[in-house]
Amino acid sequence: MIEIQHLTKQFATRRGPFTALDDVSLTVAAGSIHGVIGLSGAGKSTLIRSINLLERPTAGDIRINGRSIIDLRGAELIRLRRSIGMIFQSFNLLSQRTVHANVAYPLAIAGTPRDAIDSRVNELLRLVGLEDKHDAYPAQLSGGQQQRVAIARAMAARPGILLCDEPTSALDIVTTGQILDLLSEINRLTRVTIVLITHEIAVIRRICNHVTVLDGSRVLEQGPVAEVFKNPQAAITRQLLFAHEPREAAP
Amino acid sequence: MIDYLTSFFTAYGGLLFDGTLDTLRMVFISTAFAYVLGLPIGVGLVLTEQYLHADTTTPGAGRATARALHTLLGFIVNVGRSIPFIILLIALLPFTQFVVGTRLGVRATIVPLTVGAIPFVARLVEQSIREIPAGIMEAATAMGSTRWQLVTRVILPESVPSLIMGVALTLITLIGYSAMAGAVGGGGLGDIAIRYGYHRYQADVMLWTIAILVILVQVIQTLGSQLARRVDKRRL
Repeated sequence: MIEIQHLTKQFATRRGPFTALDDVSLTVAAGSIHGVIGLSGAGKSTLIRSINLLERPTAGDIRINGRSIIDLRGAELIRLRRSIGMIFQSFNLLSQRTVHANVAYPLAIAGTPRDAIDSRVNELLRLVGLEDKHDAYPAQLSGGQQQRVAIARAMAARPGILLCDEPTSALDIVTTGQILDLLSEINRLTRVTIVLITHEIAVIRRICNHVTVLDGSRVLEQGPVAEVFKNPQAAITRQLLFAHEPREAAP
Repeated sequence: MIDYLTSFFTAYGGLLFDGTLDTLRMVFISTAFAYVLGLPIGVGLVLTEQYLHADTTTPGAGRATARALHTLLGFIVNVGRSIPFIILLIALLPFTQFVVGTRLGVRATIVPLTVGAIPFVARLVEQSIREIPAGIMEAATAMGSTRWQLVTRVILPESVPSLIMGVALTLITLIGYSAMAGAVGGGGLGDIAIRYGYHRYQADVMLWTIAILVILVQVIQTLGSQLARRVDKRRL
């Protein structure tokens, strides 16, 4: 379970402090798929990056399984990050390493023995459907295949949490569906808690149980996907929901 | 023409051959030594910089230290790069005498070549590392890499093609520097060009040394570029 309480993040800019997150609170139940949706600049990227402390919050608290993480440093911070997987919009695979070596990376840096790494990598590549790509390099793969490798890599060390930072924003609509189905399947098999940010309502609809709508650095509404989308309260939620509808269909 | 070539190379072939070997020896050894110090300095320049900006990637405790270290490294590198090589060469003579016990010849030239190349190498390494997309560094950080793992498993392997281009550039730059060392008795092709071409007005010897220098530069650049391309897994 992830509890985010009154999280605030300010950046110092040349024009003075900029507030990226303003008193954001949300709870992600263990094993759920929690979507955070918002437009560009809403603060969703800062929010997801706070969970593994790629961003250090200015105020507020983040608790993972009841334990506050925001002051973790050094070896404890490293241990936290190794217990959380993350995938990105731009995949971010190591370009000079094979698929096998990329998936092996989280295990290798944790000092896992060679044969244990090999069998785990085999298992993961079978799971993501790339068992014939062990020795390929990222540049030889399509975007969808690269994201599958990234997912295998993120899951290698059996994390309890998987952070997905716009995981399908660089992919076409068909590949997007396949990647989302894979994430859903992994959630079902491993009970990994997934936090996913996106600007596409279709992504939330397809795999999320819960949704948080973020706009202007604040939470506008949240709850089970079905409830929020059936009875959207915030104007921005309605805009996101009906952005693809013909003009007269929008309320 | 044939007669000229035969008589020229009978007279000077051995000299030019030895000079070429001396130049290559000086340049390759100096480049190797320069990377021993320049590579860590270049990595240090990037790491201390990231320490400054990413309040996130790294905990805040060492921020002041990182800032001081970054400024210090940058200052040393800039000072080193602003001294013209011919001045450095002469200024270092007592140091050279102290290190290798002589101020003349190939061994003596390796000292100023190395010292002169270190700041150059440090900047090249820094630039190569900066070419790595930020997302890759971020992913490696998010996976829980320690600082050492980040350097040895991500930063250096990811920048290998660019680092190879940097080595070729350093070798070529040092060929130019080594010719200057010839002016103060440094040995190698520059020494031959000055002694025969300048002091004895033997223009043909000088022209041949230049021809050899041009060939050396072409060969090193071509081999460097080819090797960099061959090891780079981004283009397949």
